[in-house]
Amino acid sequence: MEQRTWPVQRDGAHFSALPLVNISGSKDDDDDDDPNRRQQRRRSRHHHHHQQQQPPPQVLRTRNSHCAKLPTIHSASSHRIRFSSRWFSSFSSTQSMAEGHDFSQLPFDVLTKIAASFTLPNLRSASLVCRSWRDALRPLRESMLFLRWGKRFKHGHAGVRPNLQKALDSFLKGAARGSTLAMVDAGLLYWEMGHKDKGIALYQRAAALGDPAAQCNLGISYLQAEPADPKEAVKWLYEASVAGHIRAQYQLALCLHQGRGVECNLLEAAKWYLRAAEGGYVRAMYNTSLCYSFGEGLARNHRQARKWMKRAADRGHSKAQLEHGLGLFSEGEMLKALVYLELAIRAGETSAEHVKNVVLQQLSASSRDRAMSLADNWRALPSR
Amino acid sequence: MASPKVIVLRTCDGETFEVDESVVYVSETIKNMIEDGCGDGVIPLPNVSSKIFPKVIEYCKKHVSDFESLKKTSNGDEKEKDKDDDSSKKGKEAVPDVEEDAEEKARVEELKEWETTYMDIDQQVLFDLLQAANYLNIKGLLLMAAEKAASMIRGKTPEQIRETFNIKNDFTPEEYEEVRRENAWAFE
Repeated sequence: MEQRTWPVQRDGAHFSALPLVNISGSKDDDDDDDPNRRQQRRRSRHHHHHQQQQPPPQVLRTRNSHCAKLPTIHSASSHRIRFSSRWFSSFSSTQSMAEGHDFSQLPFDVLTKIAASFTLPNLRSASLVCRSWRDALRPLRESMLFLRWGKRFKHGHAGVRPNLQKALDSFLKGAARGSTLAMVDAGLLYWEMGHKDKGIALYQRAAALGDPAAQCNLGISYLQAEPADPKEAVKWLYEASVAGHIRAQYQLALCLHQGRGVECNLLEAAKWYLRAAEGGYVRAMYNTSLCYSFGEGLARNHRQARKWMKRAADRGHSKAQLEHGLGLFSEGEMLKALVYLELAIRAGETSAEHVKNVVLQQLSASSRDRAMSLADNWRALPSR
Repeated sequence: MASPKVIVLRTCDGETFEVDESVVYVSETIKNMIEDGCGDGVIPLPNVSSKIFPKVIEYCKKHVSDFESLKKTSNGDEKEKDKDDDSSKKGKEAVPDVEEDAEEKARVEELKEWETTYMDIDQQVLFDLLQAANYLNIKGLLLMAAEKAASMIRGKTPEQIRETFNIKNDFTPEEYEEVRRENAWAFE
């Protein structure tokens, strides 16, 4: 990330002595889940905004007298002299900030909602925008720390012994500070530990904040619940799919394909399989290939079918390896066919044995050795 | 509740608006004020301007039916659930009514399109919308606006974000460095 530490100022108006941004530290308590406290904080914050506006002389339209958020240039210039140690460059006499629309003045809880599903790099950048954002996003940065510890405890990284209870505690602490990433991981752990309703509750919280992974997991939970609620599942899978979540797209396609929770629709299903495949989801690649192959939902296209089957095979899909091997065999590419058939067999597709033997008979000893060596050294391409 | 009641609201710049009660009920804040007995007089909205209020009301009008249809279907769904519990087969699902589904799907798609158009706004309107939705406690609107703001932040450097939103960098060099170092562990 290319960053200048000394961004050039467009005007010199904004200095620390001006009481512009300091919203009282309302995030030091952990009672994020207490709605009454939150309401009080919100009210007091709005009140605080009003107080800030009064001191500097206002040269504003009366329409905005209650809603404007910033003092004008006039008050800023009188402070300039104090800041010889501060950095600033020449400034124009016009205000570069729109009146009353200062995004640095957004209330903390609004900023927390905006950044709730941010990954760490985005959270980092947002925290470096201005002081107010830095302060508002502190709880979310703390969430990230708890998230990291949670993952360590869950998987036993970095010399830490796996401990599911501690992992859960960490994830829950992260969730309490507002990060949907922590909520999803906490929900997943609850689900894996058998507390499915607690898992779903967390997914719901995160899904409501717009996190696509949470929406996907929530949808899948509804599909797997007893009794299942496929209509609700499809609703959430659709949300996540529209947001670009490839696993959700695949699951949605399955529902459309099977007519589960939604009217059966092969065209829509194929469309979503293709989207997920293009996004890198291996199972979707395999299904996309089949759609092209059978002309189901997509116009029959042998070339596309082969392309997607190969892609799935190269990423480790065992059935795709079998199919691709058979395809190569039918084209007379014996050596390549043998490699894929061998990979398929090693992955458990025993039905490939018969064809493999046919191929073996058609190859020289050195070719057979070469094929086995290729299979031995094969590594799946990365997938998502 | 016999005839539809009209509520009078006054924005911070002195303008008054008359809106159906069912529409303003979408705002939890206004709903609470009405339930506390303020519905007969003029309800003041000191944190909402007359510029943004119509935009907010547009959202509320679109989503009034959400609340009403929710009340309707909840009874139906409960009946379906009983049916599933009675069945002994694992994972038995109620067969969806095909016509209802097609209608529902069309409605969802139409709503998505409406939302895309509605959120095609500049950042000044976005700011006002965030503030208004927060103050008026309209969850769905706040979420939509928050997601729009989030999409304008993701993937950008701090300087790019400042440019997008016209924010001044008020960090001292030392403070900036402190925050930068705070998260450096993530990249080790």
